[in-house]
Amino acid sequence: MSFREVASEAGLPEYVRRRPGGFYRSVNPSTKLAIAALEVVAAFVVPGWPGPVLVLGAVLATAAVARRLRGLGIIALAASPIVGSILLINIFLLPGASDPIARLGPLAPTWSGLWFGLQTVARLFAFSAAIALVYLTTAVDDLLADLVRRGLGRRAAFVVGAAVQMVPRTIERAGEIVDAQRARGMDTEGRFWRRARGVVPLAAPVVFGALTEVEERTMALEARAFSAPGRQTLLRIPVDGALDRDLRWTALLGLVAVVGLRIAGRLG
Amino acid sequence: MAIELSGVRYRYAGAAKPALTSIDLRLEPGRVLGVVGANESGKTTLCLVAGGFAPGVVGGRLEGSARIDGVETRSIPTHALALHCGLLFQNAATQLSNTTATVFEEVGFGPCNLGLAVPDVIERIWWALRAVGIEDLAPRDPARLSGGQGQLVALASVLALRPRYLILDEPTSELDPAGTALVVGALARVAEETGAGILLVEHKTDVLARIADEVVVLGDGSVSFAGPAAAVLADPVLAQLGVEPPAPVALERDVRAAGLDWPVELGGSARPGSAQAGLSDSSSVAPSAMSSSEPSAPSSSDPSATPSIELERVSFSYPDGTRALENVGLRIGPGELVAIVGQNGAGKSTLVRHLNGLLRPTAGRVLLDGRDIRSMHVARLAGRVGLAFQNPDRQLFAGRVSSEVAFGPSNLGLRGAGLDERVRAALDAVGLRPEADSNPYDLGYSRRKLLSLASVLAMRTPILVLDEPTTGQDARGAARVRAVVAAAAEQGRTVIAVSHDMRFVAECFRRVVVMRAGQVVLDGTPDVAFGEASWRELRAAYLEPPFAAVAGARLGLGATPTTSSFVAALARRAG
Repeated sequence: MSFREVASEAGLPEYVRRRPGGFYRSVNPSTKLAIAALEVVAAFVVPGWPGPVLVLGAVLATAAVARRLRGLGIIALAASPIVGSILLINIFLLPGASDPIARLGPLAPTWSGLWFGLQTVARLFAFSAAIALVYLTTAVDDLLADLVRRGLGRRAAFVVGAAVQMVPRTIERAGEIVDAQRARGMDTEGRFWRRARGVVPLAAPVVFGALTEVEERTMALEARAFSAPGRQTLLRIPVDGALDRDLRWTALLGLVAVVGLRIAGRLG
Repeated sequence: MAIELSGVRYRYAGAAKPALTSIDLRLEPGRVLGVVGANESGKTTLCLVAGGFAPGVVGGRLEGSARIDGVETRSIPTHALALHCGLLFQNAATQLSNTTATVFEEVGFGPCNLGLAVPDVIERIWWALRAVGIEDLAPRDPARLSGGQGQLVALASVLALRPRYLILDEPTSELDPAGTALVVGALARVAEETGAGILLVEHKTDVLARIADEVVVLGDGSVSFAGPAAAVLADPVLAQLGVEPPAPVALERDVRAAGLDWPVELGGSARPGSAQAGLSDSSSVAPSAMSSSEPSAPSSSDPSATPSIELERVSFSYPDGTRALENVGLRIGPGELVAIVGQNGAGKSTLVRHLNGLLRPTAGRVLLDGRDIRSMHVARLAGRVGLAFQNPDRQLFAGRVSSEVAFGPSNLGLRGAGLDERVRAALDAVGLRPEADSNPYDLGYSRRKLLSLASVLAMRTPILVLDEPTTGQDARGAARVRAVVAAAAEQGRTVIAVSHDMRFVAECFRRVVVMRAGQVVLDGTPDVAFGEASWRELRAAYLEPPFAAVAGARLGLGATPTTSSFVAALARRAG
């Protein structure tokens, strides 16, 4: 730990020094990223059911102990329209499938389509759950501080941070815009075609508002020495112990091994 | 050592004409230079040029000389500008980095960018938080602050860089009176303690009267006139240039126009600081002569009529658990003119969002003409209650000004000539008829705000709700808003406005509802709400009475919330 990092522990208030506690939440953000990378790759590279099932099992077990299952559930719910469409497309339109479950006029849902669709959905869930678990167990500023500490550029870190923070703020802004247009009589509760007519009045202020703010935001950042040369001082130094390092190396070696075995054709 | 602009002419890239045509000014360390002028007279551009951000960051073409401490701004690298000049705009939301978890870290964002040692960063953070008086906000999430609190955090964030000059573009426009007083106090302290030079653009000339040493008046991109603050702010030409004079100056002018002498007890109105003297030292005010108060203007509502709108023991909590309204009971009759005042975060905007069903009470009910609106769609209620939001950029979407205005009435089913007539009338009311074919985003903020007002006016709802309608308006814009309220009142419409502008409230509304911490704590005519007996309650709600009320109380004239009531009371006393 450098002098600057030691000094930061001394004078900082408790709410900045406070480290996330609890299972998995206390793990270093970069370690969690490395584990998520292994899980994402394994979910897609390991053929058949073992890949997605093992990854999903590991992620769900971790989330359960870290008490983040509810968050994963909400994300799964949000993904349900995509899941539904993947299943429907595969059940009815999987090329080469010839084992019909039933005949529905010109349509013939197939067992192999259903099987393949379920497997694809499992991979998708495993992939999203692995990434979502990092988001649900890591404060964005801890992640950024850790990445900057490892050499990520200030601008790149800012872009990542601003993009992540932008999601809830854009949702908030969209809520205000919906309110403003409803107050002018726009029907957001009526029939579909009426609601469809509201897309431009709702979307345009989000875009225009963001554009008009860009210049002001840029100057506000420059007025706070954002482009100053040299290394940025960090006030948050995420914990990075021996266990974290071991876990990271294990994850990276695991990732290389999975990819290597896949290339060598040893995974079936 | 100074910021010096000499023969400055500046044109934005792609603009047809220059935004600044002839600017000469000088700002020395430790001095406060106020800048006033009508909207779109070049004030913001002046800020950017003086700080080196134009053309440095925004591009464009600069002619003449713009120097900071003898160095041409063109030759200062962008990253070094922050060490010379701190820049702050009016919108707190765009000033913060959006990447920090606490106010403490947000204020430290700049010093951290400079790569200072951690103890130095910490020392600067606490110093800046103390200078602005917001140490208690340090652990809070910057994304969860009110507009006023956010602006104070933005100011502290700029101060933490310890620039030699501060350039502030309407930093108090969205703040309540208490927030404004806090910022003004902080600026005065900063100027005195750090020796920083401050260039302060403000519509609130009362603020400049208190802290500015000199004032520059801009008109059409050039300096119309400049000089010591007291002399410039007392100059009658100011009003012609679209600038509202400080309240004491305006009051003295009206007193003299009525053929009366300006009371010696009130001192010289144009002296810097005198505008606030009575406000900040209300304990010295003479005992009230409430018994001699002139009768309040009668309310135009008939108390026996069915109320237009009624809130019955309404409480509301946001999903995150914040309790915004607490057992609010309010009855507003047809044709009433009601102002809702209170500090930032007192629950005013939450309350008015209940009036058209955008928010539904957690407890209690809202009645419109005696009917519970719980089951009514907002789209249907929009025909009865028109609500103009505070931020116009949350609603403008059309490619033309006229289309934007037509959106509301067309949603209500209006078409053809009737719709066109409403659009024309609404644009006339706010003075935007010549811009009917312009793109709304080609207008400046103040005119976009008038446009959003026009878009609600065109719906001709019996109840008109305005959220901070005068924010960011110059004297002409504020006069437009006053005229809109007066016209609506003449038509018998109910007007409800949320405002921090006490002079606007006192002069345009017949009933004042004071809110604090989600509750109604005072409800009465301006005479009552701004009368001396209510000052303790106003102070508790972080509000201040209008200057006319303070001056009237000081002279023992009774309740005089408006200039006209003050002049009338003074005339009566003079015999």
